Amino acid sequence: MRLELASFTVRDVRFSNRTGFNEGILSVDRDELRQLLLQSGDFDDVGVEIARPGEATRLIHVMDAAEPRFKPGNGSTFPGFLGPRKTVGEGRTHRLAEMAIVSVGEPAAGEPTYMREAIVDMAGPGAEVSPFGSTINLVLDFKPHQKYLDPDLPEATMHHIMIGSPLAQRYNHRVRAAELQAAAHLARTTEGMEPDSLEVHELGPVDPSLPRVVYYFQMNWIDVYGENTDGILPSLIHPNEILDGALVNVVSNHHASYRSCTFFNQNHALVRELCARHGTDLNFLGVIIYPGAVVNEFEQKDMLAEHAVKLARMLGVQGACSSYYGGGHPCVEFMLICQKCERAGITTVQVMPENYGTPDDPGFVYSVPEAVAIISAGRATQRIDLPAVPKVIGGQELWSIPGSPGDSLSIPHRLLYGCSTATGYGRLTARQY
Amino acid sequence: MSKLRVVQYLNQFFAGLGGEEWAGEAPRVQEGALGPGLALQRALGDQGEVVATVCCGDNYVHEHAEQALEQVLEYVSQYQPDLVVAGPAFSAGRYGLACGQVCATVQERLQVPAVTGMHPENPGVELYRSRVYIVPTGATAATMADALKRMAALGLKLARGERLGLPRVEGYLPRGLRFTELASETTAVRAVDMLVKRLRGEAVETEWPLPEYDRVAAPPPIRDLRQATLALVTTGGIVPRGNPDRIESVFATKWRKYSLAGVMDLTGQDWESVHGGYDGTHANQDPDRVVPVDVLRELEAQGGIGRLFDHYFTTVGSGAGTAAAKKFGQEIARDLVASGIDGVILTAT
Repeated sequence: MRLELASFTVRDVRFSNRTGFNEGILSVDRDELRQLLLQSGDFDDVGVEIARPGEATRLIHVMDAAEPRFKPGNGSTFPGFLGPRKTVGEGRTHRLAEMAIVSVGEPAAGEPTYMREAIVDMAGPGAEVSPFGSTINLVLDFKPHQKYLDPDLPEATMHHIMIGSPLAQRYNHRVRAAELQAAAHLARTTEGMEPDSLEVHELGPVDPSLPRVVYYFQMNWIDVYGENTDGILPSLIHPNEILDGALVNVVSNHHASYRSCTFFNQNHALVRELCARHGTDLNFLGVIIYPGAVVNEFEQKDMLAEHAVKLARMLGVQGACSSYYGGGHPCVEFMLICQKCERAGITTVQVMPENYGTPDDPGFVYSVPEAVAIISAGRATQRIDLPAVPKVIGGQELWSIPGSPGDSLSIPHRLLYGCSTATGYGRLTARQY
Repeated sequence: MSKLRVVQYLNQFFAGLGGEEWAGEAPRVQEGALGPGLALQRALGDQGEVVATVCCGDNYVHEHAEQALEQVLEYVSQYQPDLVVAGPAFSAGRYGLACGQVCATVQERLQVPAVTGMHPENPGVELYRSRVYIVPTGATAATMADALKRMAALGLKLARGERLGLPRVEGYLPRGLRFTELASETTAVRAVDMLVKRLRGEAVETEWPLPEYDRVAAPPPIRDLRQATLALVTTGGIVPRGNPDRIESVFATKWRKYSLAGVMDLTGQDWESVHGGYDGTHANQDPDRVVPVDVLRELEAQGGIGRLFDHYFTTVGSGAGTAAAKKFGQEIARDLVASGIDGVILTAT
């Protein structure tokens, strides 16, 4: 499978009366985009704003983020959400690089908010640690249509304490569909143009003596090809599928710092790094995806791990990278995979965000003695001080933090969107003092 | 820059009073350096001056803990030091504990930085390492000069308010404190680098060392359940409806004890789950599914158990850190022991 990511580097995004891309400037007809997104009937309104790095602007209530992408010809752009459900990861894909579409907004009826707050600062210390502090962001501020706000609807009953009511789940899907529609609409402006650079991903034949490696990707609330993955067995997929828009986040109520995010899947840093070293340092065979937080019994977790490691053994794997999405009990299957890999002679490295309370807390939900090579993506509970900002996009108040959202804040990193993602995109770590 | 004022803490032996027969000696203070203080002064050079030495017998400091500490604090504060250096205690257990305690107290009560030195296996290390900078030393006083040199260097940095680097760079025992920082490479690059190194058989250093957990031995079985008082404890977040004490749905900061007097059954009308880590539908339909009051009341009526304790203990386990969980556990256990409970049914979710 040969994927060509054709990058068009965005130097600025500006509002204009005509949407187009020229010389690194993305011009956006704001009203046209708004009308396009309102067609679905899911929103009362959609605000469209631009937030640039260095501006004293704060985004709150962030739901998801995506990179503008478009597949010309008969390729499917965002299969299952926008394009038809067909395998992606081949052919050419246009991308608007250095920018993101960031979706923000209020919840639907029956949508929990205790973990939903997510903040991006465009300047200052917050911008330094959140990946979206250094992208030019086109912010979509979604106001739900009345039909998603009636708490008396039977569908609005809180069905699941984390993902909320069926209505909230449906609304979150609709927000992702609109976000991806905007992403495709904007990237389509580059159709027929020559890109600034071309990144080719193709796991071609390599020196057979190189170590054979897989990546274990523990997902949370990610739809694959538009399908819910809760019940799936660990499955082998091609890394190009991840990079080409097959994996979309669908839940907002999860810790901001390590929430799964569509942008991080499209730009999956661990996958890209493994691809980049394919043929020189290793032989990258593929990605084994599996859902986190869906099986509860130890026996089920053990079985899931058995299956995941069996796949690697069938492939004759010698090394594995493994990432933990950052929840609670899914640490068990994550650790069991490490243990079973090491016992099968598969050398592992684990990537983990840290999410415990105090600096003196060892912080493991579960561990195995084989877990001796861990990369930390940062400790989410450490506080960070953010200065006051004149401009806030996304809401009038922060959940669970008193005062005005533009005030100076002292908050845990946990609330900074994307700062400690286990997909490897950021630079945060924690060190032992 | 003026010389920093340093006070040193020593035990009776190193202060030159004598051995075990002087271990009951109360705190005393003397102006200037004493014994090892001379080597400390040499290590400080022109950066600092040992202005006083406080000493106390190793037994006295433990047998009269509060009194001894107050006296030590008073002596220390009289000299308005910029830094307190305690020991080094090498592998002497009582002395190590005293040095740790003096340093911790001086820092917390007088806001004066402190440093001590010990052998890594001194019991003072385990107890005070998270609160106090401890320079590792050899087991005996043979390593005195070297230990004091390293303690002085670290102490001067602390006294000047300089930010300390990593333990192995600065030469102190890791305090077990983890802090978030920006690395020079992305998480992805660091991870694949580490994997490639491991596959080549090269040594790597984990960024997150595994902890050593306490192992709790199981108590002997209850001899006769029919005579026993049992209590219910849960991390499943079942609370009286409305959550009167606002126990948090994740990262709970408290546990609570609620009365079960006259309660035969937990109904969804009066009780609910506030746990943020599982789907509460079934727990809310019938909270007995998490805290089985109904079944225990039945057993109580049938004589299968002696008695159900008339309170249950609850918190939310979701996102709980080990330190918080340990503290909650100890507090709840103290309450259970004081209430004469014979056994506990602990329900998780």
